[in-house]
Amino acid sequence: MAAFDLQEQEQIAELKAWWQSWGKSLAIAVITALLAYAGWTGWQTWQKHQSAKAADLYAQLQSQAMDEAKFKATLSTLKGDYQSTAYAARAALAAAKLAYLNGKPEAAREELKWVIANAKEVNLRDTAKLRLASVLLDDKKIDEALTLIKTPEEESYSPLFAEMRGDLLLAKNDVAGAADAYRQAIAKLPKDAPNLKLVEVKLDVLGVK
Amino acid sequence: MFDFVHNNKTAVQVILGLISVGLVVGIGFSGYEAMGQGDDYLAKVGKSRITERELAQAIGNQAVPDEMKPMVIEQLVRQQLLQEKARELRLAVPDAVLRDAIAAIPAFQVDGKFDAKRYQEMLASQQMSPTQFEEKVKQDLILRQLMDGVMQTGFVSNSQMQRLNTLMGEKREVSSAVLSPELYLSQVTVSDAEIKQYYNANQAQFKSPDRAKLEYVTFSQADLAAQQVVSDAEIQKYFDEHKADIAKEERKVSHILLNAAKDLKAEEKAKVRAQAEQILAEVKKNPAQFAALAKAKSQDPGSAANGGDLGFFAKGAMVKPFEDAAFKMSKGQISEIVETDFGFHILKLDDIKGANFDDLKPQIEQQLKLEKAQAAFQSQSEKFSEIVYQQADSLKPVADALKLKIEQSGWVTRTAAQEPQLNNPKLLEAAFTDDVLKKKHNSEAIEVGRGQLVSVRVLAFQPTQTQPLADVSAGIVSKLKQEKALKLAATDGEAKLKALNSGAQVALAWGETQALSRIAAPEVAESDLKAIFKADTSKQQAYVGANVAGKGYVIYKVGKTIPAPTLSAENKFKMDENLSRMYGQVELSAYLDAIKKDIKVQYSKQLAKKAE
Repeated sequence: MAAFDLQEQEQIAELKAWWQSWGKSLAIAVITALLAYAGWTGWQTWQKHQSAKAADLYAQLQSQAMDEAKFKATLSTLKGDYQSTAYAARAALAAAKLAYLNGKPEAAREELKWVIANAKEVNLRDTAKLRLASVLLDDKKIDEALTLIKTPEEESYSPLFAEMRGDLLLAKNDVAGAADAYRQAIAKLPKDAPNLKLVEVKLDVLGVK
Repeated sequence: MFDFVHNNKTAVQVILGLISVGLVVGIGFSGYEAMGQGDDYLAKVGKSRITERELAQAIGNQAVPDEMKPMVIEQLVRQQLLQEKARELRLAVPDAVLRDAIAAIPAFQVDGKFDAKRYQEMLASQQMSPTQFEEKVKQDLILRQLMDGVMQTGFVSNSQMQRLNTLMGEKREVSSAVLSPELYLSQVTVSDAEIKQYYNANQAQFKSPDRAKLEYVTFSQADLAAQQVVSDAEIQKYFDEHKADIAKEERKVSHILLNAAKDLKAEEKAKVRAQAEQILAEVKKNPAQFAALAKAKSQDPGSAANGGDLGFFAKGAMVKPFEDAAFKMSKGQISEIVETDFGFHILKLDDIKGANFDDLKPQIEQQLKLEKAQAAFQSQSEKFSEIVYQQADSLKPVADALKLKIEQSGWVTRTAAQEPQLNNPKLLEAAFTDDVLKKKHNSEAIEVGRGQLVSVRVLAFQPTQTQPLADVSAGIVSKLKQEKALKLAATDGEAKLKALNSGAQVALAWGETQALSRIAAPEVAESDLKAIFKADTSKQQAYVGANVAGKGYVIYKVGKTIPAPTLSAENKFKMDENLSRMYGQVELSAYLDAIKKDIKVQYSKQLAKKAE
């Protein structure tokens, strides 16, 4: 066996020493990085997979409006196993409407509260708040509703929130407050908003100068 | 060219185009208007661009009129925003949903059922592959999911609905009396000094515009087409080549079916075939009995009762062996046994219907002429432009070279002409340029429409002039009288209104009493309506007055308030639907605005922001 020359032997020794002290950490770092990458892609794939499954359930849900038992089952699967998908909140909003139209406001309130607590999309949380406030108005729980719609999370919802605030304050006989809220709504609504004229009428009727 | 794709071209365009734009996203489109030239894109959403091409595609490859552009662009921007959002939310469309959505599009249906062949033909006519189209529909469905989550889930609570019902359903009894200016005309006079003063102060009104009489030649593809000669042989050739598409022959067939499913055992099948042979022999012996035999023996539940009659059908409607047999037979003939996946058929051809060569000849001839003219127009239009430019002192050379007629126009102004082909902004602008007007040259060749070029020369020019006072004084008199009468009507009306409100009796011709609501009142201006509803009628009738353009002074007598009727279940349903839809739109707009914050939208410089 041709021996290594001295210099080479030294280098080998150095390398060995280095490996002794650092090799383990390096291996761990590499493995961690690989695991993280695998985890990340896995997470992406998993989420996509979840969303596709949720889309399936959501499509089923839409055809089950007439079959309460099935509707409820699909809805609870969506809200339970697919809570993080965009479909869960949408399904809950649809369920709220269905419940309200079927004369079950308390069920509607539960769904809306679920959306407010769980929806990932800020917009949907604001939407649910508006709807919940209008159901609360039915039940004369006006203060609760007013707290709920103090300020939207998304600025673009503020004219809608203001209009609702007007409706609520009027129900409390706070005419001046209602007029003020309607004025805010009018100021913030675009000129071609379909509800603009309605808000103007609401304000006019108050007879406040 | 004559097949159904041609006939349904618009339908297809609308479907393919509007499938996207049909999802009109949210409300409103004000804020931007198109002008001038600029960047290569119209708008940028995030990283994707919206170009002229996408714009045209969106509405089915038609030209987009300038005034519509801002709206379509805004729609596309909104779609793009939603698409980006949908990607972020990982929205997906299950295959079954996609399939059902496509099958439900009427244009792809034959007799109310999805037809794969028609589907492919329709797409082919738009140079689109099924994969591309399916991707497009998928995108649309995803957008629907995104929007429906907001728009379809809205509802209006009972208490709000009651309140809106009170507002919108409440009515006032109103009758009106009109003090029209005509009633006061006899009381007014207009002096010469006033006429003169008006004339001097409004000179611009009495100016006639610059006018010119033009001489022009039109070079059009349509005229060119009329000159083309198409031989009968060419027509025959076209007919033969395109027969299947254009003649669209339909055949009326009756059949007797004995069921034998595809997977039936061979010996079973042979038995059925033997039965069929027996029936065939009977039919051949006595063809007149076909219907009776079909009724008794046929196992096709749909047709047996009608004596086997299947009605008219075109190629593509029936399974292949059946079709082949049906389209080979002559009228009245009875077929041999035809085997299909359904079993064994005996066919009888009852009738043939379809356009024949003679019927289609003029159509084909026109088509071929157009095709020829298209090619000729391409090459000759360059010649046209060249000659009018190079021999600019007369239109005769170009008229001679291309056998065109020189025509003369009536008076045209800078903005209007009687002749349709001259009534084109570009052409009129050209006619009044120095080069044409002063140097008396031919105008350049201007495309006034598709396949239509025009060049003009000025024959006579009449510059703007002010009409003399004598010519216009009668008009001035009546105008001034009307103005004065209007003023009198208003003064008198206001006095009468005051008297009425203080309780005095005033004789007026009151019209019929109407019940007006806050929302819709025909012929009453919004501001008047507001005043009417503000009037305090708690103790007695109130009166409101206003000048109404075109009418005079109107006094409204405001009577009883009619409270809103209680909401019937049906009205409640309708109202809920309308209001939900309306607020759905508003919420969607808010949703879009929120997305706009996250994704950068940039409009091209040529879309200048309108200062509102």
